[in-house]
Parts: sequence; C-alpha cells; structure tokens
Amino acid sequence: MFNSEKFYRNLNKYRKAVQIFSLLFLIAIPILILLDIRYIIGNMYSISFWDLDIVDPAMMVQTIVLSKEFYVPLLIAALIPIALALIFGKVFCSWMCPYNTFLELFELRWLNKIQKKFFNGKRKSNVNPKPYVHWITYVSLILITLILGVPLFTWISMPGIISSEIFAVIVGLGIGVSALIFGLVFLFELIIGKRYWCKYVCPVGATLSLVRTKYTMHINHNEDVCDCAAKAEPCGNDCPLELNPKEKNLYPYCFNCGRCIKVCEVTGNKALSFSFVRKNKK
Amino acid sequence: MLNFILNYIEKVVSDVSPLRPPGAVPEKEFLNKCIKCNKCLQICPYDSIITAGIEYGKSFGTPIINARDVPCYLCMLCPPVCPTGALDNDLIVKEKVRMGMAYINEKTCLPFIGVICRACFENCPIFRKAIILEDEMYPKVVEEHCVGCGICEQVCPIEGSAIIVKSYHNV
Repeated sequence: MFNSEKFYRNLNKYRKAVQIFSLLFLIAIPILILLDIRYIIGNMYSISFWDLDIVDPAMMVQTIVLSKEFYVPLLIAALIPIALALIFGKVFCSWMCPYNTFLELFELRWLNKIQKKFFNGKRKSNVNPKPYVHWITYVSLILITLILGVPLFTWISMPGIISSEIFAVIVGLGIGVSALIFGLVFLFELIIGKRYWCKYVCPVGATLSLVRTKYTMHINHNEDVCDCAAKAEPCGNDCPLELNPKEKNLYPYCFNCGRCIKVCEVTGNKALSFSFVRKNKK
Repeated sequence: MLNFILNYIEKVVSDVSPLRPPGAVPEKEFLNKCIKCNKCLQICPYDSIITAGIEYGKSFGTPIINARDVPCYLCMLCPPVCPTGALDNDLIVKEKVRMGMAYINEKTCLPFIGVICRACFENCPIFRKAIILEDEMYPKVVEEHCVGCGICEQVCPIEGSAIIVKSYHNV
C-alpha cells in the first residue's frame, strides 16, 4: 500500500533529485551537441526528445498573442506541460525550474539572517496575497506584449534564459544580453525579498496556474488535527514562497513543492497533505 | 564610440533583416514567432546558425547566419525542428529555399577586372542554375534560382567578398 507518511517525509529528497537531474540535463544537452549527438535538443523554452516536441505554454500564449494565429503543432507541443499543470499544479516551478533551484541554493541560513535584518524586520505570520495581484501582472504583461509587439515572455522567462545561457557558455557562443536580465531580476530578489518574481511576475508560472481547476492537486489543511501553537506555524516558516498553507488564497501562488507537508509530518500533527478532491466548506 | 552608438541605433531602428535560417517567414512575422529555443542552432551540423547579439537590437538571441564565416549548406535539418512555425516546417527541398539573394559587386569581382575566377560558380549548390557564367567568364546570379545560402559569399577570394547575400525579405 502507498505509505503516505514515508512519501511525504522523503518528498523533498525526491524533489531535490529531480531538480539536480534537470539541471544536469540542461548541462548535458550542449555537451551532447558538441559530441555530435543531436537527439535531445532545445532548452526550457522548447525541448525535443527525438520527434516529441514540448513547448512552454507561456511561449505558446505569447506566440498566439503576437502572431494572432493558431499554429496546430505548437498547440499540440504545449499539451504535455498543460496536462501536467492540470493534474499536479505548478510542479514545473518547484521540481524543474532552474531559477527556483538556484534560489533554493541561496536559502542559506546566513543570507536569510541578513535579509531579515535589513529588509523584512522580525518574522511575522505569513499572509497570502490576494489572487488578483497575480493576474494583474499577467494581464499587463500580455498587454505590453501586444502594444509593443515584442516577445516579452521570452525575454523575461527565467528558466529559458538560464538554460539558453548554459548552452551558449558551454558551446562557446559567450554570455548574451539575457544574462543581464537574469542579473537584474536576481538583484531585485536580494533587495525586495523572497520570491517576488516567482509569486507575482513570472509569466511561465502564471500561464501554468491558468489551467488550475478544483480537482488539481492542492494542499489540504485538516483543521481538526492541526495543533501547533497559534504563532508557531512551522509550515508557513518553511514555505519558500512565504505563504501560509493554512489560510485561503494559497493558489495561484503555491507551486506544490510539499515542504510544508514534510515539516508538518515531522514537527506537527500531520494536518497537511496533498489532495485532488475539493475541500468541503463547513 | 560615437560611431558604434550610431550604428547600433541604426540597426535597432531599421527593419533590415539579417540572414535567417532556411524557411524563415518574413522578418516581422519571424520576430513574432521565434521563441529563441535554439533548436535550429543546435541541430545544425555545420554550426552555420549563431545567435544574434545585442547589436541586432530587439532581435537579440534569435538565430542568424553570418555567411562570410559559415554559410548554410542546405542540409535542411533545421526547418522541421522549429516548434512555432517561425521556420516553415514543410520545407525539405533545398531548391525551394529563399533565404536571400546574392549580389555581385562588379567593381571588385575578379572576372570583371580581367582575372579568371570561378569560385562562386563552382561552389554554388544549385549548380549551373543559380550562378551562370556569361561568355564563359562573367558570373551572373539568376534571381529565380538563387536560394541565398551564402556559400558564394564565403568562397569569394576578394577581401570582404565581391558577392554578398542579402536577406530575401529585404529584396
């Protein structure tokens, strides 16, 4: 039988393994190309395994907005990530996105301390932002794309930038301009605070949360067994996005990394779990 | 420095298309569709396709071909891999490619100044169709057959090349 306790305890390990694997994958693609093996090509914008094309749904949205036509192979190529997001939510962000992997590397204790001291002050209980903040930025990004007629999503897609820069550096094309955009985004990350990009701006994650339904995997909070002290909140404290898994408006922000569940398994009373069925409102 | 800035502004403002991989749709549409997935560049066995730098303005990161360095050898591997249709996926016949058009500068071209040279004629992949020799001596580009691959530009022995390929979408 499926052992949920063991699964949740090890979830973070599986996630780290997948993150490292996909990062190694991005490094392996240019190395294989240098060795003249060209079966797996592409980057995080779009990748091909032999004849199977996969396209980032955000790029699909951008292409439709800019060219105002529906190119069928492009729609088909975006089906796999859309189906994944439909079932599991934004797991691309938490399990694969190299920018998230990179930021989790920077979640070091000393850096957190400095950040808190200078920018955040004392740690307060997390509050989930209202969902419309997320959608306002997404809609305005689409409007800017339409008005200026420039591929804005492509320019600011962090996974795309990181993967194409890894390719360019390894094959010797040199660092491009997009590395500068990456640097700016990361600089603001250090100044503004934790994960403003992933939560509010990133068009890749926003497109993935477009397809969320009530049956999409989400975090279920069982209030009856939740018994941590009122201000303790180990789940919220461990959230990489500074969300509160016990409150509403968790989505579209949460990317289902499962760290709160793991903490709840270890220190709490197993009140949090993944769920595919809609929670019954009392 | 000032010269560089002026050149840069000129490139950013003007709609001049660089030489794109075979099958590229017209420049404006191409910029709308290209998502910089680098697949065309990665599948190219000759490393003909490179990414455009910041000097190309808003089309930075898109695939271009610098024909004088490495021209396109028309292996036709790149059009099918494009996921967004920025390159025409159905294009597999090299004679149907229209990347650009070659122009001969008759002031520097060797036969026109009396030296025998057949470099472009002999290397043209659309042999004896796209470049013909008039009077067995003077090369001439036949516009309806030239695919714009840039091989002639690369093999030209003249410094700076006497035959230059310009993107088809500027013609």
